[in-house]
Amino acid sequence: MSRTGTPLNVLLVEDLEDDRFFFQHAFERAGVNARLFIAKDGVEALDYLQNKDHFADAHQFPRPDIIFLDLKMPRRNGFEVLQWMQERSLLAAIKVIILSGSDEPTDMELCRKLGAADYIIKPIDTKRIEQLLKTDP
Amino acid sequence: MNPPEQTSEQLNNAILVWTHELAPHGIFTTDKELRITSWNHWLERHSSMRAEQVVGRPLIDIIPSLAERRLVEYFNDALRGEVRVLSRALHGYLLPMPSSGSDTTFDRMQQSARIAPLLLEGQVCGTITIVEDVTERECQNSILRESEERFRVMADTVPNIIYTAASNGQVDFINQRFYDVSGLPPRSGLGSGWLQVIHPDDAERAIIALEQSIKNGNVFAMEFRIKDKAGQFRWFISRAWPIRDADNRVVKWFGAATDIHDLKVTQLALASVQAQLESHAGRLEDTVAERTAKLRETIRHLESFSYTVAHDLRAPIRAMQGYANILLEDLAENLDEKSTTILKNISRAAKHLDALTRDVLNYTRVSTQEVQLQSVNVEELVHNVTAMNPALQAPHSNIGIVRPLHRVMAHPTLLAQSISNLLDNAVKFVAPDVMPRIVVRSELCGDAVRLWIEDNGIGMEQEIQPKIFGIFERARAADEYPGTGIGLAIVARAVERMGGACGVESEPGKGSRFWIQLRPAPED
Repeated sequence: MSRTGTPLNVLLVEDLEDDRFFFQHAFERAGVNARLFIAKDGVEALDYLQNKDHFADAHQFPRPDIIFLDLKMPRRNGFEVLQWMQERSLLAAIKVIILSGSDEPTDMELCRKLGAADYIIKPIDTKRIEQLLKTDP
Repeated sequence: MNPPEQTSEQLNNAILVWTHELAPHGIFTTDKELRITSWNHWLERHSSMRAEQVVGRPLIDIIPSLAERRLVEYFNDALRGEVRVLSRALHGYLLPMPSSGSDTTFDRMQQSARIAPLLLEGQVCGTITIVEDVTERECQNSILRESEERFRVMADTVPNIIYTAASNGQVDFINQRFYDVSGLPPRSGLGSGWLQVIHPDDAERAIIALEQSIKNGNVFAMEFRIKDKAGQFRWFISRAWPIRDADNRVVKWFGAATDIHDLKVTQLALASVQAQLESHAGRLEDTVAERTAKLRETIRHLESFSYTVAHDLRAPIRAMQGYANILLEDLAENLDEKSTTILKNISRAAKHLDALTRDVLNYTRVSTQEVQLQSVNVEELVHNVTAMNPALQAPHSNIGIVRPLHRVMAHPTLLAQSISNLLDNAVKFVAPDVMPRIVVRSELCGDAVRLWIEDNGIGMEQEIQPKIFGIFERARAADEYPGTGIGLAIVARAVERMGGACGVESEPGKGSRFWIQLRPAPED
């Protein structure tokens, strides 16, 4: 069942090209009424959320409804992005789903404390992504 | 009112009455032929001879021993105008009389006597003798002398140095032992003379301590070294106690010094050994701290390396797998059969490489993780493990729990990892088309809890059972039952880290019974 009306805005924050490719593949397979925006690390993610630099055009880069966030990234990692969002009370309006290669219980626990809605361990499972996008309001 | 006028005759009479009747001394007179002319009351009382019995008789008749004791000379000297004093020390007594005192030291009354010429108008007309009873005084002196003698004998025979000092600290007696030890000439230890044999490093301390005691009246106590006659210094401990008078003033010091050289040398050696020991212990602690820090650093590096492996190495493996899967799932219609087979092999190899990487990481993590045991609810933990893995749920398998499962002391993550690996094996190693049936139960085994995981799998031969907990050991060929060969090694390592044990009972075709043994959790 695809969404009708306003498209869902999805931001993927991922530094690895392969994982961006798999996510985009899953996103296309899902076929939902949604737009995908990409930030290549934590700094770009924060720029996007503040409409800074080449994300300055708020019309072209609208506020996301859902963020898929990698943890281990250069410059600023996923924990820092989460914390930044938590401090600005952005997590009520934006759902954050962690997408990480780490199955460390401490990493999962920290993300839960920082307000992440879900935690998916890589590899990216096409069906799971499809399911998440389709059930999101 | 003036006293009545007295004539010289009256005065002479009064003196005569006193000397005769009242004087506390014996007084007698003789004429020039040494015949007794007067004999007073004191003499009558002590000699039991009345004046009438002796007056007019020669002195030598009354006291016959005078001649043999050569005492007649004294009287002759008096007749020549000399005053003679008869000392008790030399003669004991003049007149033999019974001892007056209660003391039995002397048989006879001890006397001193003055024998003087009796003058009449400047001419010697006889002698006058005054006898004094000194028995009591001599008794006291004798006791004192005896006491002093006893003290001296004792002081010179004890193995200690004994000394006394005046209230100002000047030594007025020091026993023979001091001279035996020091080799100093007699009496040279008196006053401050003893200081010359005190070790230079101790002398100043000794003077200060002494001055302090004199000032406060406190017991003087200190340890110092005395140079012996061979020129060697020996350790002594010295104590001196103050002797006080009725007004609580210190009148004397009484002290003793004891040779503690052997003890002191032992003590010093002991202290030196102790100091060395402490220094060694300190160095050992430093070494341990240093090595621990290095070890921590190594572990930190290892953990950091593991993290890097986990994220950076696994990412390209996942990519290989992912690309192969996209080809297989989305573009299968464009591939021939051989290409499909090759792609499947690539995918399978990538999957195996990922599993291998993950298991090696788990093994490292289990080995380096800090382990703190806590009370763990095993039933809850088994539920959590099965909930996360569809292969451990119906319809793929049937896992039954025999309740209750005992609580154990464990590290939750390590125990979960162990149970997860055992359950994974239990559902994997079954004959084709057999539904895995697993029973989890626990029992008290001595003072431990043994958790059993029993399966209906293919089982294994007796010979390979001891080996299967080793890393990369496998009971079955990889193409028959795929796996990394690390799962049971992780179990063994995790259980070992929790202070427990593990093992297996099995027979081919009859299933396996794996067990983990841990300490029971205390009752709530």
